[in-house]
Amino acid sequence: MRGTNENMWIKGFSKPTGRWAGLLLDIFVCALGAAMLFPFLWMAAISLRPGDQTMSPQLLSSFPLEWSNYRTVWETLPLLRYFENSLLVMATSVLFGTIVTICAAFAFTHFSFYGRKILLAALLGTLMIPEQLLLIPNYMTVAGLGWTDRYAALAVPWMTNAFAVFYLVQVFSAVPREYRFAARADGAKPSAFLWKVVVPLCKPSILTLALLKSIANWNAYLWPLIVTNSKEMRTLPVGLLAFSTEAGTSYELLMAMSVILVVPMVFLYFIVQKHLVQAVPSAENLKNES
Amino acid sequence: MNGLSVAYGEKTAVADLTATIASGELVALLGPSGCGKSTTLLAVAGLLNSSAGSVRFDGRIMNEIPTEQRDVGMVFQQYSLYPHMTVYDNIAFPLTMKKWPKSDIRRRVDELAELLRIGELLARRPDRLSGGQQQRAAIARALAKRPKLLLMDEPFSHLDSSLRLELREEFRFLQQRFGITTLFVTHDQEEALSLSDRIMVMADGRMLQYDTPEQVYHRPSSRRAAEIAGHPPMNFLEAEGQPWTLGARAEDWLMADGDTALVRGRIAVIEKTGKDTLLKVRAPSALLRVYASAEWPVAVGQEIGLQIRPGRAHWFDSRTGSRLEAGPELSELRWTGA
Amino acid sequence: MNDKKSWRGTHQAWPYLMPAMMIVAVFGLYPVIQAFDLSLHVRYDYYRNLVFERGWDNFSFVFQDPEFRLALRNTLLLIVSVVPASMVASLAIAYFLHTRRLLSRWLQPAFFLPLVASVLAAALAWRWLFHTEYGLANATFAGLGLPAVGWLTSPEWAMPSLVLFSVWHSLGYNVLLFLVGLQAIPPQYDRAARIDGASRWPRFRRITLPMLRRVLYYVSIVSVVHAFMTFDEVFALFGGERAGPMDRALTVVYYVFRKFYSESEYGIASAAAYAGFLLVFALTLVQLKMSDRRGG
Repeated sequence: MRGTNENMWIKGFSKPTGRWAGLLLDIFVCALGAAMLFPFLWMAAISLRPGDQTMSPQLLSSFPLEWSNYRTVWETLPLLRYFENSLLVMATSVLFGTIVTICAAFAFTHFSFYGRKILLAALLGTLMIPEQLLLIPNYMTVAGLGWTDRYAALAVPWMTNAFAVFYLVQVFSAVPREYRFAARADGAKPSAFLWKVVVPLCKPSILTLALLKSIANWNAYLWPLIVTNSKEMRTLPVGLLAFSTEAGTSYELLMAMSVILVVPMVFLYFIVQKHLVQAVPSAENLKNES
Repeated sequence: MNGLSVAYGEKTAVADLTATIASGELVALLGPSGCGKSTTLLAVAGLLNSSAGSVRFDGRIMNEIPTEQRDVGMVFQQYSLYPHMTVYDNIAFPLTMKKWPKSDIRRRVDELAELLRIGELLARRPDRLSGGQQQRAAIARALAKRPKLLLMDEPFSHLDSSLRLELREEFRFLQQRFGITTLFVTHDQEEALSLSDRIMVMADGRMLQYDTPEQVYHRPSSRRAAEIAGHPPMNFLEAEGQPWTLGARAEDWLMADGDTALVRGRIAVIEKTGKDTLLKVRAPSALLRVYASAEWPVAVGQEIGLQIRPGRAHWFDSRTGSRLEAGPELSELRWTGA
Repeated sequence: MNDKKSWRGTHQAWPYLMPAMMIVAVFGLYPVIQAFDLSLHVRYDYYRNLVFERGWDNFSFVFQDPEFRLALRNTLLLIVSVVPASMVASLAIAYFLHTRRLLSRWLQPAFFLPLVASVLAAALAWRWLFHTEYGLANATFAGLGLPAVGWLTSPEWAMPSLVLFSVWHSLGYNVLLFLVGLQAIPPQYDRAARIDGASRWPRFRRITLPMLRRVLYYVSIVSVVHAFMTFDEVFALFGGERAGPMDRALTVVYYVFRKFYSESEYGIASAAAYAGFLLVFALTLVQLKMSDRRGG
């Protein structure tokens, strides 16, 4: 009862803002959203044009749509192989990376141990360092390990980092201590507490982290470009990069390939989108700390 | 517990606590917030390390035994249930940890659910339960493995008052019927007095008194203990130059005529709380809280003479605050202010 | 917690820590030291893993290299243009999305798509929009009666194109962060201000903005660091061969990449990376100081 009254108040006050002004604003931001999407629409449109019409400045220049571009890409490139590589690298890197990060963050929040402060300081030290600075020495390390042109080189180095660990430390320390007390009284060992209580409780934040890792991993092109030589080891982005020099001006094919690269991540985004919103407060905590 | 102390860094939260809880007893840890009662509970559970002293269960020293193996059950004020599990899974959790067979778990959970009257709620998640139902489920989970000791931290505090009374009584019934040794923390003196077999009164990390509710109420061991147990708080009269402080509870006063009155004062406030009428009487340098009998003619601003019921006066050492067994003859005292 | 450090805790903790710490140590911490060492290598033979001479020559080379100076100038230009533009736009969008919940459910993905999509793919589409003869940008210009512009082919338009693309690319992330911040503000303040009769703009200026201070500060730092790191945008937009026509969109990180990847000048590349890193660090410190003074 009280709630509805309050809402009526607010409604009454928002009236002076003006219905027309509001509508105008709505339209403007919708247009902005469309503008954000525009390059992607364009990409999709061109990928469905016959080769001789790619230059048309009209978005929908030709009917029927030319689905054969996708088949051409499929036939000219070892697309399945690229896909396999990308998927395999992403899956292993994200899966193991997330597990490893969860374990480390749990150790920091759950145990008191010697060396905790030093480790945290060391992690904090690597937080500010740009990835590009690491590229050179990491390439040398990977080469020294004999990992060049191997999946390990693609999957292992970027599995986890200080940011990921700190993010989950923050998330885990927000778990009320009563759960830990109760779990211990219930006879749960640390591992049982982690996997049966902490992880399910923090699922949205963990999924957010996994999504960010997936996106970064799937779209990474520089590192795979550096550590792989053979065509068989190319991931999708590296394939696109190679294709853009090979295909020259066949824009319709390049765009088709781009669509193939973008669509899986868009799907992934929509799958976990619901959880992202829930994970938001913990991200806020993280910011306040840093 | 024997000489138990718990320290946080440099600060000592609980010092030198010694007490024995008999099997099947319900013991309340009573004290103001921050007095170290929760700390004591956690130390008994093994969730905090004690800096000195020992905790024994059945004579066995538990200091080095981790919580997981101490065979205790715990209930908290909130966050007692895992929110991502159904009530059934919550109650079953301790048994799953013990790797019980599924059929045995089912039997035990059903039995507990029936006892705590949450049979219909087993498939629900905690966020779809009322506060009372949540605490019932939490108690069921704590009891699932039939622990040697049940530890509860303010288990009824955030429930509505009627629900709190109901659940308290029910729990007391269960506890007595099954002889569950229980240690529970509360800041509510009424809860401690009405529910427990013994009360451990704590303040500032120290144990002030460990005794039956009757003794705690009628023979508080010190002025501080008397303040903590009993509501409204005990009235104290301190006379300058005297070695004693006189204390009397609100219900222990009689109306008295001019000559026999210990204290004279003016009624400042009258609070009617249903059956009782509480007066706040402004006496020289003291404000007394006194329950008035129905026959007292009272009005705000009226002058009133008061005397303590025979045998109901408490005497405390004015310097140390500890209980004195005897004081001066009441009829010979006249209060004129400090 | 009074949980004291104990050998027991240490034994329990290390198995959990080990895998992550190994990865961070080998691929996060060691390279930092390694890169510093590399930057000091003056004469060396990597095929035989020999270093003949160490010194600061690489650093002095970098600072005297006109290419690096161009890269530095461009990078600073990116910071002063992309950061404010992207922040203002994303704050406005986030505020709108925040006040229009219903619409925002449908619009949010549009702003996040650039975040999710591969920068290579996005840049391909932009290259198309920027095409001198057939691109939509010039078609629009023609419609407005403006002359055609060589967005990606003329040296003077390289940076504006890069700025435009970078703003578009960074918008989604900033919108996300601002949305988070806006959702964290308790609605009572806004309601109270409404009851006091404050209209939309004063409410935003006097209540929302001050309460967003921490987020604003965080976004500004992240944006500056990100703008300093600009590489993907250049690489993807200009086709990965050169940093735009006549190298006019060269950035610090692109310079590092080229020295390393195309020219195999590991020492110089590391020195440039370190010089760049120290500059970002200094810049961040200045920001920290400034926000401290304002009581951030």
